Amino acid sequence: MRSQSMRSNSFRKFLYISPFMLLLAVFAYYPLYGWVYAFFDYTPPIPLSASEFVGFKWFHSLVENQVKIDQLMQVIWNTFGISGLGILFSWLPMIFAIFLTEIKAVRFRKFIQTVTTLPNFISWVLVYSLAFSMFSSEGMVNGFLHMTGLTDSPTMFLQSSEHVWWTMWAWATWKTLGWSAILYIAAIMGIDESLYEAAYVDGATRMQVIRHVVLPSMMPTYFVLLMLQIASFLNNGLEQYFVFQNAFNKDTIQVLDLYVYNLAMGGGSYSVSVAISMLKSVISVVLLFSVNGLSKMLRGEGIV
Amino acid sequence: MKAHIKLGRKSALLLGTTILLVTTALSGCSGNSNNGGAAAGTAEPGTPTESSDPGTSKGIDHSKPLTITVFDNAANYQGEQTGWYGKLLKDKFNITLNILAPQVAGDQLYKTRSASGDLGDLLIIENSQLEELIPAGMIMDLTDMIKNTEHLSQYVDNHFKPFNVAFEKQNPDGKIYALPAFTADTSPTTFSEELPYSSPIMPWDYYKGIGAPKLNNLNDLMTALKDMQAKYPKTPDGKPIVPITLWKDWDGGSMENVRWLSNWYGYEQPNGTTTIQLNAKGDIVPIVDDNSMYKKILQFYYDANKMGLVDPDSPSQDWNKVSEKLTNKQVLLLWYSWQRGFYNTIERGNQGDGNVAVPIGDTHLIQNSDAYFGNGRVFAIGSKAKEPERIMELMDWMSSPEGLRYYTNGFEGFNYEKTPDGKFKLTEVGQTAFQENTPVPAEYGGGGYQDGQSKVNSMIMSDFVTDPETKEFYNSTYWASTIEANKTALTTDWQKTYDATTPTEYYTKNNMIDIVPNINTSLGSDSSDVKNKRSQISDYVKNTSWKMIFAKDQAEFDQLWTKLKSDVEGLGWNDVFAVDKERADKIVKMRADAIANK
Repeated sequence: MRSQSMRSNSFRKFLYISPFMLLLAVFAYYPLYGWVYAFFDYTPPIPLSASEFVGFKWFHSLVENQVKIDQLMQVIWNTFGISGLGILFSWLPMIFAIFLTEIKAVRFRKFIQTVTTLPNFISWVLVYSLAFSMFSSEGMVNGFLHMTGLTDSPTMFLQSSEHVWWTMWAWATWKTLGWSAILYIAAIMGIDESLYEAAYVDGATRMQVIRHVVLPSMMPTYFVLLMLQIASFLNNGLEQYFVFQNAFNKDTIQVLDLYVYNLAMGGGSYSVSVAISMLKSVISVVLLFSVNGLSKMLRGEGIV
Repeated sequence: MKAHIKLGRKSALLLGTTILLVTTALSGCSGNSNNGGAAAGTAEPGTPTESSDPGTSKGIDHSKPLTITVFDNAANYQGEQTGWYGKLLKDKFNITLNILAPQVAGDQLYKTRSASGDLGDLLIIENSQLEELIPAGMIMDLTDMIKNTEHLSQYVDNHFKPFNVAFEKQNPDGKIYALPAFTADTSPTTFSEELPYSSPIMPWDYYKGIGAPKLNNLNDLMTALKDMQAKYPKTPDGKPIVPITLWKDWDGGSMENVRWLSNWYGYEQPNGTTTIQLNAKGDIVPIVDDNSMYKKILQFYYDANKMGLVDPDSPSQDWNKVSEKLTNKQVLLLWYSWQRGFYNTIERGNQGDGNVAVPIGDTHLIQNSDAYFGNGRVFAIGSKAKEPERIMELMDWMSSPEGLRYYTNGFEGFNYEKTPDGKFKLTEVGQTAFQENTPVPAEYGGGGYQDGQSKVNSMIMSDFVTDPETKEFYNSTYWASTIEANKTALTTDWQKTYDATTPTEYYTKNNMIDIVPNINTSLGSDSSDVKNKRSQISDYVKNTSWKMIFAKDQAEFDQLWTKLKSDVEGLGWNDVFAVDKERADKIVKMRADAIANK
């Protein structure tokens, strides 16, 4: 009797999570079957069943000579550079959240929060058209510079390969700052009031309260997010770099995801791009576990 | 007991939700995405046609509306064909065209759709794609269907059969799978156009405004452009005038703007190759050779940019922006023959205003003869197309006198009219309908004339076919009436200056042009290995070309070139070059044969 109710109980719990397990199976595990394409000589319209098995040929072709190695290294270097900048400044949303909650004028605070969160919902394509209307040779900024007599010929902001990593980081930060701050704001709201009271009784200034009460309480949240960010170190997305890429900045803007896209969609080298994305997955898993191990060692807790 | 029932309900509910969730998730990634939602070729029950034309239908039922998915490499427009041409097809055949344009949506459209096994109903694709699609069983055999057509059947023996038979590997039985596009009905070695496809073209009034200096070489050209720019910095309505404007939309294996200027000095890059240039003698030069014409033209653009002659918008603008500039006469140097049409009109010609050929002394053009065997693209029907006989009927009509007149010239009575001697003559409206996008009368469907033109942007038989009624080409430029009307101040002034009736005649007379037979045949398709390398090399060449033109100084230009040469080597240049050389050798050989058989 008891065991039956237990069983039905656990069956019910299984039913609760089954939709998510199915989603995971459909969207995370089923696509892995696509990895077989990396081992075949596949070009549409010839179906996979009629393609030749080539083993590790495509993996080898990535590193078969110095030029290709250089190209791949440049791409990985860009990926590390742009992701690295992101991680270097990953504390920005946290600091932003802290200062935002310090604002006492509610209306003003809500206004700032709305304004900074909105860009997150604008697609990169629109962001680029905004960038274009501002920074192109006939754009607002060049028009202004020309009007004030600061320059006599238009500056090619979008076509220069200089500071691309920084400009990309700046665009991404502008777009996601408010959105990323939401979690931290929630964490701040969860801090026990008595801690504040105790600090003020001890005569702490506002800054000291932030330093000794707020920041330490935010750390767990920050580290979890940081770990997730490191795990997706190689996935810095594609849309942003895809819309901003052109002949002049391609060398410095091409990150792994974009490289895979350009190879597959631009050149029809599906098999090669599958091979690269497989390598990417492997590296990501390694990164996640190493960061997790590090976190366990240093802070005694991890996420996996 | 009660709890049990409750649980059952809950579980059922959960199960239901789960199934729902998963089905929606799965339907989200079903592979068949059809733009516009209309399932390809689905005939829905609907209204019968207003005027089914008994003249063309041979027992074909037009009562059901049909939407044809047109996969069209030539189109610059994606979506449904609307406007007057759309109405024409709807009224005549009860057909709607849904156009898919890789030029708009990107090349991956071909890859993704061909991987799914159904490219579309009517296909306008490159020869090399045809060679991939026939073995994949995605192209319908038209041999029997074409026999029963009224108009296309007359071109089978001279044009379609030789073209199809050449694809020996894919087509050992000599079936007819595809109809070459833009086929001219003249001869394999004549060149009928009055202006070569690519040659220097400039606004006549500006050129005369700086004293019409004699141009001996590209340096003279740059000086002249500089002077013109100084004298005419802005259009009358205040838009900046740029001497040279470049755009990247059509860059394929190399930079298209460089490719076509190479033609001025006798080197062409044949379709189907990306690494070589070829001259009339049959010399094959790799484009990364230090002495290649490709490099010389890059140097010319770089020098021009250093002199401030290149439009700063070039790297970022698209073709639409360029055509806008051409329409406003904001560009001083043109090269494609069809670029004149954006500004030139008879009315302006009467005031001596318009773009004309301005020959440069040291040029020696290379020009392909009329496309007797087509231009490198083909019309084919997808093997999964529903109601192929209706698509065939449409293609047949496109190649009929009526279809060709509509495609090239619009409406009788609106764009052109009959003259007493039974020929055609452009009306006042017809002369400028394209440029001004003149509103079309409501009875024809309304909208602008240019907006409503065929967005297929390609035809099977070209306008260099003789209209049986008038005994003139369909192309209105070559009508006696147009030539007469075109005796404007501009034309006569030009003719007096250069002592020739047309630019083609001038170039021929002065031995400044080589007309090579047009070769359009099977050149084979790349193996995936070569395809892979080709695409990486092309990408690299294009990007470097743009960078070189906008380089800071000559040192950077040279350094980029040196790096390009060594890097493409590593990307597999030799393999791709070997394939291209083989193709070029075939072209050279066939040209020699064509000239021998003349």
